[in-house]
Amino acid sequence: MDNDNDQKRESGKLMDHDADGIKEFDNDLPRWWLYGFYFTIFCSVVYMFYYHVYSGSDWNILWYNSRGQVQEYTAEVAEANAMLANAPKKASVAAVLLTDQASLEKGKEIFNSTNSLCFTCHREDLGGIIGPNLTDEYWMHGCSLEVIIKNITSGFPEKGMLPYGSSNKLSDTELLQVASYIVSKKGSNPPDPKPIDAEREVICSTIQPQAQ
Amino acid sequence: MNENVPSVQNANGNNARVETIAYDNNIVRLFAVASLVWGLVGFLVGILVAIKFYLPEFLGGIDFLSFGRLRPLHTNAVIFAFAGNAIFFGVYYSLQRLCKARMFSDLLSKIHFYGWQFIIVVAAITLPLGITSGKEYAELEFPVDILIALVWVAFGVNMMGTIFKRREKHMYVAIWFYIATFLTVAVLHIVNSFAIPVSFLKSYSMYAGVQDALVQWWYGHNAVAFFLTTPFLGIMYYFVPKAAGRPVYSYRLSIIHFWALIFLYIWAGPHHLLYTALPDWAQSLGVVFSLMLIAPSWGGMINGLLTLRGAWDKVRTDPVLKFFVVGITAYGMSTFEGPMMSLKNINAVTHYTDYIIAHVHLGALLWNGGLAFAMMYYIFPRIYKTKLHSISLANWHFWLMTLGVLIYVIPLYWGGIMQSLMWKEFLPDGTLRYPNFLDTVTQIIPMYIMRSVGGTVYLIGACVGAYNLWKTAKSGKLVRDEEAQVVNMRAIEKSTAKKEHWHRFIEGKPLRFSVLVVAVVLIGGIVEYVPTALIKSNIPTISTVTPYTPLELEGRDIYVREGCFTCHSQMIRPFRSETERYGDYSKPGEFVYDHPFQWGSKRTGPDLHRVGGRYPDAWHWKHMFDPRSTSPNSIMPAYTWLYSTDLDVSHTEGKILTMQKLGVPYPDGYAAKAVNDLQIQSKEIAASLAATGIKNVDSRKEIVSVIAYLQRLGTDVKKNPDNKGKE
Repeated sequence: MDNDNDQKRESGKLMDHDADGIKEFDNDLPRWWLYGFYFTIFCSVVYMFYYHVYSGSDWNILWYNSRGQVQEYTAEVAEANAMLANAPKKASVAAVLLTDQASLEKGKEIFNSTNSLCFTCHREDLGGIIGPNLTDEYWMHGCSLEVIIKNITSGFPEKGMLPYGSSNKLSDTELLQVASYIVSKKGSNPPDPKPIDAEREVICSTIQPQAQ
Repeated sequence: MNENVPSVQNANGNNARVETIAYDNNIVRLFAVASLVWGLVGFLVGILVAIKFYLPEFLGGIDFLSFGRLRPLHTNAVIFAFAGNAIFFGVYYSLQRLCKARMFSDLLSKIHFYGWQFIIVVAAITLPLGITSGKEYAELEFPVDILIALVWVAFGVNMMGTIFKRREKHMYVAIWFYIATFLTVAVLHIVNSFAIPVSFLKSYSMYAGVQDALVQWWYGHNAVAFFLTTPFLGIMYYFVPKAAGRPVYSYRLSIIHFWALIFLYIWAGPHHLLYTALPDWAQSLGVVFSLMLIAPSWGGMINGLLTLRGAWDKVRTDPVLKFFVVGITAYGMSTFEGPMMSLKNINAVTHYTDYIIAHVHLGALLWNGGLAFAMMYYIFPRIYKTKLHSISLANWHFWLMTLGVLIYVIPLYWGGIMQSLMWKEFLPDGTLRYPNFLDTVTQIIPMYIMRSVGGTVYLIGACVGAYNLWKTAKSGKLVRDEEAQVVNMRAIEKSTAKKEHWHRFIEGKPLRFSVLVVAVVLIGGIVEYVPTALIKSNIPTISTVTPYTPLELEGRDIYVREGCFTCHSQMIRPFRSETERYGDYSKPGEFVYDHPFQWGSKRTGPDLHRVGGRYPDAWHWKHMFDPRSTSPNSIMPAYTWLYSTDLDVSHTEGKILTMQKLGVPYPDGYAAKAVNDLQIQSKEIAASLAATGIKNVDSRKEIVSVIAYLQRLGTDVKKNPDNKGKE
């Protein structure tokens, strides 16, 4: 150990005590450390002042404009709404029943895909389990192609069905394919289907067409 | 003891006796071996739960091996068994030598050791059984909590007793950190554990909702501060200068950073609750105090690393110093990262993600783990009076540890940020880019695989270390009582006329020092807690929020038991990306009957705060029996045992009575009717399942209560105030 050299090199002196042989220098606090500490304290004071004391106009530098998280949220929603109000409206899908085998195969694939999740509630054979049986005459909202397309795109979130089943959007073609597939399975009589919900389901032809 | 007493003269010309004393090395050995063994167990459990992220049915179908129950076992094992025992062997080794005194009481040392191991064994049994308070890092139920308090006090008395009979006038900086550790952990543990028991193994937290969250994270964050930081800094202050043979860099830096650290740390808890229903002002305090913590934390790192000036050549050859250097560097990285993650705009991205998991593993595996192994490599050859079995194996351990951690953390940092950005991404039409939560999970499966690989590499390293230490021990013989010739400096340093540093005054008086420490650490907690608890405007009440029905309450207890909160939050933050996905953001008034709160801290699965009514009962029924039937590629385990176990209603009445004691407004005498109401509601759910084709449901099964609880979640605010109580 070259303590003599050390002492010359250190700005502080070697303290005149030791603990189990451990000596201590008394070096000055590193400047960058000390000023860094002051800087964080300064920032903290400014932060608390700006968010919890100051009530003048927003500074708009470095900080978000809004004071508090609820205001921040309100601003975020307002901004999104303004943007969406100006967005061009998308034309609704023209309902054309597809009957070719290729389209129906594609529709079946979509129905049973982990992307769309239709099968998890309506079963692979459309007999229904969590969601209703889609093969019988009893429907809640109508059984026409138009209605089916509309119900797929908007879902019934309050009943557990997200838009597009899983919220993963489908292209217009894919939408027609899966809706046509559903229509094509009408009357397929799968075994042990979900019981008819007498309160909500009625024979399809008696359902009044819904206003679009 | 020593008959042949030579005299020495000190500078003042006083005579002092040289005494021969014996340091207790046996207790050091016991704690060190315990730390090593529990460490290996903790790492192994960690790897098992990590595998469940990509093989959800791994060890599946067995209740006590499910993720929600093993995860608390993993965290408790690593924090309290591995790091805890490491603290104790470090303290018992260094304190005796720094005080020039044997431990105050060998009996207390033994009580401490066997008591602590007993608690660990009890934890290893109760946590897999689902006996939990549902508060993270404080999961153990109240009888164990009481035991912990008693054993902790035994440790404290033993430590303070040793300090009081020290043969040095002043307490070295390491001891300051040890004292702060003992006192603060005692306060944190006791205050956070306040609960009213229902039965011997079930209790409800005294605090509800927002208050419970605040107390819990005041505890949780300071468990990091005063269990995983201060004792290890103390350890660093002893072992680094000893191993390097160099003086500590700066005495005055140690003073400033010690007091600043313990004062600032205690305020920082709310940074775990940013953008939650915690009042804004408390969140802001959490932000700024975390920011100010960089300097005091780095003060410790600087003092450790700069102590090595002039000894860096030794770092190349000495495994002990290698482990210390990497550990201290990891500490510096973690304590920079922590304050950054406490800034609200960064927290908005990192919170609830695997980024946090990477962050804590950098700290636990390199800082705590690195220091624990460094101490083992330092102590084993010394207490066994031999040489380290193999430096080459120690180097292998070092590199396996360091690389293991890198393989672990880098993918998780990446995956955490990636998943968070996926959660937040919108399409131009204003809808979410990834509306199905699962699509964001399947993307990070490769990172989960890498994580378990990294953990395995770390465990292999630890096994190499264990072998090396075992061979070292075999090659020597334990010096149970190590004799040392010491001079009582307190006897001869009485009349120093020299002007001393002002802080020497505090260092010389353990009692005064302790009182100051307690005062300094209490301030932050009091300023944050008292207004949150007493000022009503902090938690505006919502008139439609009513207590849980008995069935929902029982279901909630199963939710807690199964550790659902380890993967699902119940706290929707006020971001459009979250309100679009989950529903309206969570309000403080919605949690007033939640004993304990279940906000969670990690979203491996989606938030559940507004899951109530979102899916039909049948969906939940199918989902929890086989999650992949409703959610293909889901990584949630199946909870089949809920379908075969009858709900235990023997404590339902007691639970209602306990809730009433906690201020939950059930009508007088309601407890007597609770079981009846519970059965009526169970039958309603069975009927609703039957109506969807799920017939022959036994309404007494546990799953029915879980469905009831989930269907209630977050629905109260949607009720019309005029129809209150109708539902």
